[in-house]
Amino acid sequence: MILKLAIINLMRNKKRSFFVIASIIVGITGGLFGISLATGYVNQLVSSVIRYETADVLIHENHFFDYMEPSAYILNSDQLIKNIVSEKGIKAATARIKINGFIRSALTTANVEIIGVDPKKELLVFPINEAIPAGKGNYFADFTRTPIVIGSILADQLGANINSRLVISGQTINGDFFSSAFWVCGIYSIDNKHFEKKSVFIPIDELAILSGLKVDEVHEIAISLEKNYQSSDQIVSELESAYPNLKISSWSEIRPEIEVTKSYINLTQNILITIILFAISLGIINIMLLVVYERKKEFGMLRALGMNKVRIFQMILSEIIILLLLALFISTLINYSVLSFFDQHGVPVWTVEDVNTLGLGTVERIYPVLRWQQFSFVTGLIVVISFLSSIIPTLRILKIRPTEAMKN
Amino acid sequence: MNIIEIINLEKHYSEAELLIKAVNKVSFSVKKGEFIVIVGPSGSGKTTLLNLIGGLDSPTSGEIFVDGLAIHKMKQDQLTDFRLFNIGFVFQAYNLIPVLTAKENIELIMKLQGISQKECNKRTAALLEVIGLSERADSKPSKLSGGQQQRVAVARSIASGPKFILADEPTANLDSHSAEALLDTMQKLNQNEGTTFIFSTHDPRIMKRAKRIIKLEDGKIIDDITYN
Repeated sequence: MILKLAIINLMRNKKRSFFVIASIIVGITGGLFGISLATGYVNQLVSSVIRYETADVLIHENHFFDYMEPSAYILNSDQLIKNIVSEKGIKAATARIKINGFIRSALTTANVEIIGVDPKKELLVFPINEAIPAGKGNYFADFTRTPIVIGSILADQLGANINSRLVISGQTINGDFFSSAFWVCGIYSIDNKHFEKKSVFIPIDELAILSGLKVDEVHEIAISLEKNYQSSDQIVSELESAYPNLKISSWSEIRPEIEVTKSYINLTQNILITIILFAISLGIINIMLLVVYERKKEFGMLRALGMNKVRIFQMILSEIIILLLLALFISTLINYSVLSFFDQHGVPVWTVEDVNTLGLGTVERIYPVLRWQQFSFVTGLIVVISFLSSIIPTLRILKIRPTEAMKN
Repeated sequence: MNIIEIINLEKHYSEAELLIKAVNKVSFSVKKGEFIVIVGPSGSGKTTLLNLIGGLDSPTSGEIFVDGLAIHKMKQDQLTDFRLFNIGFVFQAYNLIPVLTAKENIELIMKLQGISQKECNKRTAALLEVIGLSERADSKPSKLSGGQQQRVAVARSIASGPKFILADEPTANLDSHSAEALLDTMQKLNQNEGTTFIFSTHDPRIMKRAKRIIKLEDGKIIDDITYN
């Protein structure tokens, strides 16, 4: 009877029921879409940084980060890599030489980080070959003259294309300068635009000769893990114990700004949700006040006839629960459809140069990600807030005596 | 046998620092099967008295016993349950639930009492027959005339098997034909089923049918006449 009355009452004013449902749907959908965009953005940033820039864990000479001097190199890298790869949880490792320098074309000069790589081993850790689009060359797979792979932003800046001649300059381990010509073999393009702009790859043997390093002397060993990036802290502590004379860093230590960005986005997300919840609760309190006060006389009459407060409360509660369930069902369908669509097509975003200069990297499209916990949290919170918002007017109406209500 | 005992009942209101004695030292008793009409000018305290007897309002002082139970001592929640099982109400403005049909309105109290659907159907059909609205069972109140709505309200008040029915100016909004039809129904129920009715009214048609008339003025009983 109570349930039937509740359903009939909801049908009494269809427009109002629709607006209550719509406001809850908008709240849930908006909140979840915002959260999924933020999560997707952070995931892409982290994934891009790990995939092409830092791997999961990096090893350097203890003082490498003091001045990034070419002389701060690791000895016996071949043996070290063999030992590291035998550790549990490590998928692959690659040695790199890294020197800050310049690159010059006929048009202009730019600051770059020159990375000397062993292409075969490198690809086990950094799949940069996958970031070279068709028609933009290859990753040291096919070349005739001393090759270099550069990012597309840098290529545009230098006015370079495949087979363009570029000259790189840098400092040797003795403090002298070197300079040598290279020919563009591949142009890569990734989400991490900051990295794309400043990082160039050349064969490690070439850079070793230019910088004065021997074959197994390198600046960096990049490690990729078998598990996801969240387990990197555990590997870092294990490697720190095993190699106390080396600097072992996880991706988040190398790029702390990503963690800061994550925290900032989480904070923004929480503020957004709070505002949405506040707006929804105000709307619902307002509508429910109207609903119950409009029927004040009816509630008074029902109480006069013998319907107790608990039953009246149950009746109003049933109306709210029906509205909430309907809103939840529809918003779940909408969210599923919207997120499925954007999961495939991505949400196009503007590349903001200011963000780029912070070194965070930017993305051209965000692929929203929604975790089950986030969905449960937001919908649960909105349901609870809506429920609590409805209770206030209900409790107020229940305090009124039947005779007073019927006078209305 | 008395089903209602009212002893020295008082209800006072304060309005702009003025004490209003809406009901003033009222005492009387009601026997089962009576057809009582409380009359008096506007503001004489008729509705207040009915509200007190019905447990809708609490007295300032005095005692009300229904079947020996002191309802003036009951708390609001106890009174609500008491009303559900013991008192039927008929209001001036019908007060049917607009979204329910005539049949559903009659069933409402029975369902609150926990009576089975089968029993509800049986009683409702019988009551619709008594009030002459069997064919309008599935009509919503908005599709019924004032008289028909009030007859449904009477059926609703009887359906729960109350000890007595309080009817506050039940014919006030009805035309003479509907009022007569309604009173016929109520009188029939009183005579055939022994249902006790207490009316408050100005309507001479009800007074004409009354077995007892209690006259109120300024909250006091000034006359209590029983007819044979």
